[in-house]
Amino acid sequence: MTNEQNGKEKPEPGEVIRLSLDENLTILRKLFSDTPDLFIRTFTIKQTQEQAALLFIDGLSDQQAINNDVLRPLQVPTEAGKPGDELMMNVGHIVEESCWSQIEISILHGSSVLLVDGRDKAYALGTGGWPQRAIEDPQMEASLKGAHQGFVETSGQNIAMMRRYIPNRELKMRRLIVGRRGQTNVTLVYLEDVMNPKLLQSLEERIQKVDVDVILNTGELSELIEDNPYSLFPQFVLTERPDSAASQILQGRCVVIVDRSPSALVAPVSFYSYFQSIDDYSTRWSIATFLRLLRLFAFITAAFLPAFFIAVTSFHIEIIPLKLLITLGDSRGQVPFPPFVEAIIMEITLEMLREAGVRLPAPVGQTVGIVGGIVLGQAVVQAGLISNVMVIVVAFTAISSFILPNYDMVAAVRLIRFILMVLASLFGFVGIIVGLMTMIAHLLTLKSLGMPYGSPLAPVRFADWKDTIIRAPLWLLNKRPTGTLAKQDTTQANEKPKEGKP
Amino acid sequence: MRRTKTCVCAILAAVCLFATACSDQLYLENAATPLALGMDLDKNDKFHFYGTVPVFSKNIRKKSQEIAGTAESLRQSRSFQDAQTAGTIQGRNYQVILLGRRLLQHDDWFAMLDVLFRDARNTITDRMIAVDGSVTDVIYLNPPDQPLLPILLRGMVDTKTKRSETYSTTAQELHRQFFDKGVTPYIAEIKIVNKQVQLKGSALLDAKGKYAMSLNAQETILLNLLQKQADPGYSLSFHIPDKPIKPPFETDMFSFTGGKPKTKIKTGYENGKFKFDIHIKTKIGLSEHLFPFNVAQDAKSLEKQASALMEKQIEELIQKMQRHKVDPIGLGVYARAKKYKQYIKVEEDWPEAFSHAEVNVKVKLSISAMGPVK
Repeated sequence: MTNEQNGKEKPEPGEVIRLSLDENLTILRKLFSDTPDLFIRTFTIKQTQEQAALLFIDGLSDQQAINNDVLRPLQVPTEAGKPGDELMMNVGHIVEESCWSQIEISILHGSSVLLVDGRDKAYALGTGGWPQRAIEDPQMEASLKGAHQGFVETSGQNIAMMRRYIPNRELKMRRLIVGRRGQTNVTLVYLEDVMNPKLLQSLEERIQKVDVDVILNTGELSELIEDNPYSLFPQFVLTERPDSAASQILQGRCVVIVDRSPSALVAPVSFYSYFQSIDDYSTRWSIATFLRLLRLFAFITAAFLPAFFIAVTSFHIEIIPLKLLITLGDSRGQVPFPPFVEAIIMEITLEMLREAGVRLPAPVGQTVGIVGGIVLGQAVVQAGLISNVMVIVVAFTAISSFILPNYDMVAAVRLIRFILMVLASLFGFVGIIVGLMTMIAHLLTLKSLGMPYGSPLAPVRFADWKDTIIRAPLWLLNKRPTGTLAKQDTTQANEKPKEGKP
Repeated sequence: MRRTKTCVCAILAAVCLFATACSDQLYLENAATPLALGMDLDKNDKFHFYGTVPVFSKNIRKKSQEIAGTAESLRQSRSFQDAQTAGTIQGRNYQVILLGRRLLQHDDWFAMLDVLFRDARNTITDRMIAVDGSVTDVIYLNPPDQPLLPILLRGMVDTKTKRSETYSTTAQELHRQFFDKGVTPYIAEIKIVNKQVQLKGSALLDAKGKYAMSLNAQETILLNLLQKQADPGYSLSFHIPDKPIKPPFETDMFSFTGGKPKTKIKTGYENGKFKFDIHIKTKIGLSEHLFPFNVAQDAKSLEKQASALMEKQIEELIQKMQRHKVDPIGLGVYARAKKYKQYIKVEEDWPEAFSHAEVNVKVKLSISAMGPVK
């Protein structure tokens, strides 16, 4: 009761509101001092003749809704009512709250709060309306045949987009609040009768343990709940496509939607998840299989090609075929640097160009492309600084890393490439093999949400091979992947389509 | 504390890595990689080595540098070779090894190649080529209208081997032929004619590596047939005896392309002599006949004539080999497999036993294609 006496202290958490509107407003003004964007509108409710105050933050709430659906009905003279009656408002989402802490959160998250004199409850009205972006084509995961809707920054919309793909009551959610200041809504979306409850529990516990000020992006959350934070490899898939997210949910995985972030986190995943794209399922199975193999090949070349080149030209010249030896010798003969330095220069130039291209606005970005093309492609070779073959190697590496569908995996490959290049320049093939073995051993021990990262190749799960490296015809994919320990494993019971007769 | 320790350990490990590395690093442009190795003896029977090193530079017109000198052995010669080039000499990229005629006229020259097999970094897939003449002429030839000598020779030998007209015997294969007592070595042979390198066919060496005799392209094909090595597509030509000749054109010529041959070798031992029955059966397609002939009707008679001619040539070839006491067919291998008791007695001097052996050859050709013209 000290608060009442001096009137200066802030309410303790869990303290409830008073009956007197004036007292409440004093407390509120203390709570939100120096908050010019908090509007407090006091008025008399015509229906019950009670004094009331409406609080909302400018910019976080929908002015139209407040004017038309809250203020107008409350101020229109109607049949006389008595204090304590249900209020007439055209708002669907009304939550009765009495704790100061909850009221505070409601206001800060965009609800408008109605305080009525003489009532021990405040009404949090869902009139939130903050700046929003229109739904657009996903930038990072463009698709040819898939939907052209990408996640946006509002978790409610994101969940709605996924629900459009799975309109099923088994699609359940758990909502957690993460971040002391940010109070970010983090929603776990899963299929109750498919998702393994232990995995779900583990994920929930990990998210609950996160204790940070604010989570600005899904990437931050993923880094805080990873199994192995030192690994170069991503352990959760981040997607910005609702259709991919829905497909992952159907396979028994859990999708985590973070409010204010346009990407969703998928767990648990395996190494091969990073080589799949949603288009694989909408193209014919043969070409999809080819593309998946191509991506694996690209992963290998993107990681190993420059290292292989260094090893061959600085240790193992005997394995170069004769005619290549002569071309290579001609091309290398004029270069003043050893192969390693040459490769590092070119790879770093490439990385710089790539980074420049990402950050620069589109009109300037073209200039970077031209400069890069000329510098990388021609001038360096003509000046005799870099050999032709090195340019080809770097170009091939770049192309290989462009066809990998997941940005996080590409980032991992970029780092691995440099490590392997150093190893190759020190030990030749022995170094590359040591790097390869270490990488494989690491991949085998790595886990994603406690599930093996190398699945289904290690541990071997034959049943999952149909939809991992290859993509079998859809009518063969009648079971969910076993790698997610799904509760319900049958998804469909299709047979091979028969040739039809008119 | 633990973290500091881990850091220190990691840094130490990195330093160790850098310190241990780089010992055998050799950049492509710093290596002189001779592509051809030549060995010969001069008039005073002094050992000479030769090498051709490609020059990696766009400003130098001549694409290769030749090195030569005298030495006691190949490895000992390395320092002399190094002294003549900008890089360090590496035996890792030899394409061909040229053996001069004078060198081949001596026994046991094969021991000189020991370093190729003992130093595991040296390649052993280089083609062995005998030179009819002196190696100097070949190494310093540098024809302006042809690629680098090693590339030329390697290509020459490899492509003609596909047509069974020579042998692309690698150093490793030669090693096997030397140490298998049931066979004598055979390698490709070249000659300089009018300042041009020409493939002569093959050279047969005796059990100790001494040059015994040369075979031309047709004989090499026949030998390949006997060795069951002939690939389909080999081409043989014969003069058919009773056909009219209209000089200056030899219009009695008849050529065919062979299909996949079926060679059967039966091994026996009679009257203290080995006896081999060789049956060669193959389908052929006519490539040309310069005389008028109705193949559709009289195919049988032509088949018979050609078979007889081929049989005769093969018999002559075998007699020649018996005279020179060489057995490149590897009949000793058959004898060892089928008549071991008798073979083991003569194993140490199998070529001698082969020279007394009775070899019967039967050839059966059947015409399966006569070409689209009449």
